[in-house]
Amino acid sequence: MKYRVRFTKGEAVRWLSHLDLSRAWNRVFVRSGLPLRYSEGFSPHPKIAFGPALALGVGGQAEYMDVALTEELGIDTVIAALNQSAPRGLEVRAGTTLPEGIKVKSLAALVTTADYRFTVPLESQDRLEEALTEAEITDKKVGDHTVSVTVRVPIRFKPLAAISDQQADIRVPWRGARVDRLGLWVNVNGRMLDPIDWVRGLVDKEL
Amino acid sequence: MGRVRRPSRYTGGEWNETVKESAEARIALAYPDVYEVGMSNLGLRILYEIINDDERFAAERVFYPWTDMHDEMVETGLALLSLESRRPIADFDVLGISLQSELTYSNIIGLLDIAGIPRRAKDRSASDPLVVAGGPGSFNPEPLSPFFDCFVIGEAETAVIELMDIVADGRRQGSEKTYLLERLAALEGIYVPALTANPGVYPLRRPDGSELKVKKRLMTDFESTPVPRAPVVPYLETIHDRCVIEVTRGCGRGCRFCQAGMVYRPVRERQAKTIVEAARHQAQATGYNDISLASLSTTDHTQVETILEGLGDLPEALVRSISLPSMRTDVFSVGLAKTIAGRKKTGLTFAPEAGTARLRAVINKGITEEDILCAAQEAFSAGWERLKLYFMIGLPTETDDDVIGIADLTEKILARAEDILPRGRAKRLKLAVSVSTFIPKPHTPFQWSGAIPMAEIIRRQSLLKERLPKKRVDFKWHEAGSSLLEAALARGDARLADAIERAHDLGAEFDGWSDKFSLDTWRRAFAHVDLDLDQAASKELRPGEALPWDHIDSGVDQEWLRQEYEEALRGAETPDCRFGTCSDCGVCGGGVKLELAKRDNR
Repeated sequence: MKYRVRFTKGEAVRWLSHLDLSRAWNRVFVRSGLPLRYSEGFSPHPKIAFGPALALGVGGQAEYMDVALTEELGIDTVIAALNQSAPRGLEVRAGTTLPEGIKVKSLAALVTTADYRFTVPLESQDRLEEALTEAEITDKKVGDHTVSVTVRVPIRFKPLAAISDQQADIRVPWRGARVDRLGLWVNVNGRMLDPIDWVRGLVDKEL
Repeated sequence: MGRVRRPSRYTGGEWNETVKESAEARIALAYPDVYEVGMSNLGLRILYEIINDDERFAAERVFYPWTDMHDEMVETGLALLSLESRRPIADFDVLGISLQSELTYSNIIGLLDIAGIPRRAKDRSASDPLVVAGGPGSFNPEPLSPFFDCFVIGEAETAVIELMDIVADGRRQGSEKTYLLERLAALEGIYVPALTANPGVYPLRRPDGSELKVKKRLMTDFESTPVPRAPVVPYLETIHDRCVIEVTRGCGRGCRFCQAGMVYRPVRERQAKTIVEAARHQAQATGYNDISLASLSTTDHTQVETILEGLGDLPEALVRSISLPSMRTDVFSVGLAKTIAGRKKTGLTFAPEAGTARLRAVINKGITEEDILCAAQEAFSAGWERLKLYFMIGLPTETDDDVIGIADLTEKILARAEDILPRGRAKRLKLAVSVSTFIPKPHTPFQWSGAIPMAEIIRRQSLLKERLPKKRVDFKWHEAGSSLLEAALARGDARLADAIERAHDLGAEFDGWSDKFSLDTWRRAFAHVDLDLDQAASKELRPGEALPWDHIDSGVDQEWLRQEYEEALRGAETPDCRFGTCSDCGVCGGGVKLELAKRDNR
């Protein structure tokens, strides 16, 4: 049975690389006692597949992974077991089973768009907006010392793709920027669905 | 954080970390190297859990920041913080530093500096943390003696709780530091350098004039000594990123160069059942499903087959691989390795140590050329295509014939493979030949012997480079410079403290990392205090002369060590006391005894 879950990469684990994160989830699964399915072959590895990688230093509020288990368990059981064994900062917030008999696209192939939030010192605001000219700014909040800009960008949009690969490559030359990914989306004829709603739509034959 | 590499070295928050709001006494357990190295240390895992299991005390972790973070800290004035409560290290009651290698000694000075703690014990007051050392380095504490308030000699499981007790008590009563030190010195296994009448003059004496003897700590009931149940699980990939279960403590082989084999005597084995249960528990609690059976010679455990069977019966989700990091070079051990290797055979390591039968007798290695060739043959027929071979150069009495013997033995192993394997497979074969330089260590029969000089290390390495077969052999050797430093520090006395401090001030840091190491810096540091590094490494000591570590009693008789040295020079072997007769090394007696899991052993 396959499952898709949504999880956070919170403050305590912000500084993990994608590889560290995937290793951490492997260990959560072993501790949880959930019956992970392993791949066949010379060096079997657990069948866990993530969405687009999140860079070291970038937090995530709605990240996704697909996982295969050898038994059929209710999604609530899976979520509860994972949360019991997950370290601070990693928390599963929602999930769904994936329908059997239908080929479900992988997260990497499915996700087209992401929401990012950049929080920078007020004095960097102009440079930030300049750097993000090609992105769609959906929200802006100005605090006492910082400005928070939420942008929606295609996942493979060049300058921002650089952000999600390696924070050091950010073209915006400021220090102390905080980057969080707020959500991942599937573009279905202009409609933005999160990858779990997309599965539900698939099951309900809406899509 | 965005400016340093691998920020999760410094963020903490890992699974199984223990954070305590309040405690009667707090200890920061430090490893003077980077996080990934320190987190792999078994001793720290054990102590972290034992201290935190006691509700009165808190143990936290701190490691040496990598150079990028170190620079940031110096630039911004950031204090060194513990990973758990993010408290400045200077605010702890105790700072416990693990001494695993001489090549971390310059980092110890750096650690005290960035923690804002005065380097020398005499400059610290009762409001500074008590700075304590433990680990194998404590068996010759002298080169570091001015920097530490005390050293825990030997196995610290119970000593550390007694120490924390005294510290907590002292804190409650506002005791003077001298009183605290006197109470600590009264504990078995604790050496307090400040309480000696004649620091730096050997043998050391107590203030009352009597000769100082500090007996090592030893767990007599090893079976009941706790195995870590739930070690902290790092996010970063560390060197030993797996469950580690200590199956045996001590080793009876009696290799004459091996310090661990001497100072952790006698052999004490855990019961198979205890080991399997501990592995199951640790795998469940950590999520590691690779299990490593640690000891000085794991395949010597009298119940090793039962252990492997037991682990094999655990759920596959908990045990996906088992490793035997130290195995004897014989057919029996290879057979065991075969049963646990599964389909993918990554590599197998043999340690003949010396290339000729003569030299193996000198070092008491106790394996014949036929053992080695048969073990290799067994490994090849079982499907291994990569073998790692460990050797040493510079062992006492070594001649060029012995060095060439390493090349000859390697060649014979290759020839054996060609004899028994089909051409296709023989072609894929790779031997990794790793050659280190012998370093004489205190409390071993070779403690009187010198390391070979720099030029000689290089000459023997080149001789090997010339003689080793080129095809199918990867030759790796240890840098001569860092071996030389290790040798100079290992048998040093209190005069070296100034050199260590000076070396740090000249920029020595991370000496165990070859791209950071500079022999020149260290030579200058030694010269600054009128010592010669090369001479310190190579000096021969006369049996009978006072040694800087004479006040440290490892339980093994100095007289027995001397006999062993003489036997070595005659090429006479001493049997393993587990399987042969007792050679009366002196460690057993008064509740201390050999503890084998199975009485009627092989």
